Amino acid sequence: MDLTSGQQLLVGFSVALRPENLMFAFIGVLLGTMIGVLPGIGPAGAIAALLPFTFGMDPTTSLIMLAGIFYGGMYGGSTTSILLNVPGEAASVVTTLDGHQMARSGRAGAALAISAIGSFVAGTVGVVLLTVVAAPLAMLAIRFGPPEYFALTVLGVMAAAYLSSASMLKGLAMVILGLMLSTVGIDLITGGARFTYGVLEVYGGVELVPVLIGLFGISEILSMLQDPDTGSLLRRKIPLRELWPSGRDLRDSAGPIARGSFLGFGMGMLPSGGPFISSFLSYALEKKISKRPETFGKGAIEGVAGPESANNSATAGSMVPLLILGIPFNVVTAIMLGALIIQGLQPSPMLMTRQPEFFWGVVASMYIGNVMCLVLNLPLVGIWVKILQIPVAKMIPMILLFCVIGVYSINARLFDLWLMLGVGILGYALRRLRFPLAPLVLALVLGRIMENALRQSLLMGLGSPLIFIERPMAAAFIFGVLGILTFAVVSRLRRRGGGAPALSVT
Amino acid sequence: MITADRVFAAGLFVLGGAYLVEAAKLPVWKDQTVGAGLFPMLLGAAMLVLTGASLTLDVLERGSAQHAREPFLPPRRALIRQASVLGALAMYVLALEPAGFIISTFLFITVLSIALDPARRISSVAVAVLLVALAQLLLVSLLKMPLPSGPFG
Repeated sequence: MDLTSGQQLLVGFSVALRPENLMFAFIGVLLGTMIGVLPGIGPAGAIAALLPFTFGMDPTTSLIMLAGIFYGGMYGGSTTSILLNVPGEAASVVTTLDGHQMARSGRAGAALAISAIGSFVAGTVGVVLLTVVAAPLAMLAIRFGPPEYFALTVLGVMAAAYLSSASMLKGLAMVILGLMLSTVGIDLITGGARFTYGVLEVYGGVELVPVLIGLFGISEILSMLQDPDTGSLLRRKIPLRELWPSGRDLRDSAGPIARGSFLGFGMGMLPSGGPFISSFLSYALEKKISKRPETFGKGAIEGVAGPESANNSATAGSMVPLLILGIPFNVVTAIMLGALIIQGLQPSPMLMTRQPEFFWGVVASMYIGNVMCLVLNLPLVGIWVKILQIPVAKMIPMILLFCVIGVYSINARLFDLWLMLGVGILGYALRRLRFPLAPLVLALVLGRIMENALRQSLLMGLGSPLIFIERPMAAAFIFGVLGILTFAVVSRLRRRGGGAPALSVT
Repeated sequence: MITADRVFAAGLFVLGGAYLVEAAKLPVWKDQTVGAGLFPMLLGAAMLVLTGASLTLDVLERGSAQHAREPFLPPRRALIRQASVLGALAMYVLALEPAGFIISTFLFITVLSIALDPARRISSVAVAVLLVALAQLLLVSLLKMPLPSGPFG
């Protein structure tokens, strides 16, 4: 880290340590941990539901809280994976494999402790790496013009389409649907209305929050209602004795935590390579290099340490494209960008120099937030276990109430609530048909950026699309897109014998 | 056999076509600048090609659904629960402005909690009272959120 970055980070700490920012960082990690612990609504749904509550805040405070929910959710997600064999959120799915096996053999305390320690170490390493790479990456990103932005946004949504579902076609259909939705409203360049059909409420564009809450809140509740059991999730007492892991546990976990930290950060920076994929890759890596691969799935502590570290480090990694390029590569950071845009702040490579207090304040808060998460998750794990005793029948009305208040409070109009309800039903149908929702949201958030970049690029190129391959960085991104498409087609051809349903290459 | 997958793909195909027709009414190039119609036209065409190709490939490769797939609709009991929750939510939205936040929220939480867990009626009412009081205190009094006051306004 150069001196300038170090000094800037100190400025960031002076911002992050302000009482209101400390308080909202704590609220963020507390809510994130709680949401991570509770199966059902994930960080995306929680952040979407809480967005309207942040609109009155300073943008720095707002992002500090939202980021806290994001990485707090990664910490909390492991608790139910280990104790109940039910992942609290998607990035903790892989933790169930060995974490729950450890719990069944009376080692729940060690699994929870290693998960919290790994999350803390990786989260901190991730933020250190974010601090180190921010300035050089911003220097590189300053060279980005409209062609690079267009190509990069296309690469982002294509990667999301490919990685978020077993079916590339379904992912692509969701991308196009999201982009279509983004074109509704007044065209910012010509000032003309598009696809509004006289509905005044959509002249400013399709409101993001009702769509997000519908997709991730209402549809999630409808999915939860498929399960006939509405009692509490935790029905037996979980012994949490021996919370501290043994010396051998720590030795066995050190390597996976270190590897998971770097792997997660690197993956987090890539299009669609957020916490979910990082955790799976880390698990695969640990199993591959282990001297005892046969122990994986039977309670290997490496299978908890690696993925839990990777998913936390990935949250820091995924803040890099959001804060430096203003382009989110996963659904949670896409929602964060939506929040910042609503508050009139558009992240860009110049953000670090033009608004250092915002950029470094958020980064510094992540150092502090990680310490808060460790305290919340290690000594206080018993409290989270108690939360699992709240009956689902009581949780559902509470979550719905939050959704309604969140949506209504933006514009105080019922139209948004009906939109939320309609999108919720659509989202549930999409889930049932195994359409991925993340590409739709990414495309909806990136749509206007992509369209403006396309139009500006074509103007620069006097109407010629060749501008996208004449500029090296844009060309590299376009080749990335072609690579993904080629890979998807080749994979499909290889599996052709098995047949596939419409809009599916599964 | 028509699967929900195919119906949805056909729906997206029709949507893509309708969107393309509407997009074609917008200018692609106007006053030496890129018009508002170019991006939507590309999207409409892409949706048509994508869904058209997937439907065609489906027919060519398989002809009919042979794979055992999870049915689109959930079991009857789950469907009733989902419909009840959506119905309660719709009633809540309808009642929110005329009845106000306090009354409509109390009724919504109480009715929904009892519907989901009929054995715990008293605790359902208690939770509803607590939630409404907390929401009123935090959101309306403290955060000054614009929630409808109804007849008490």
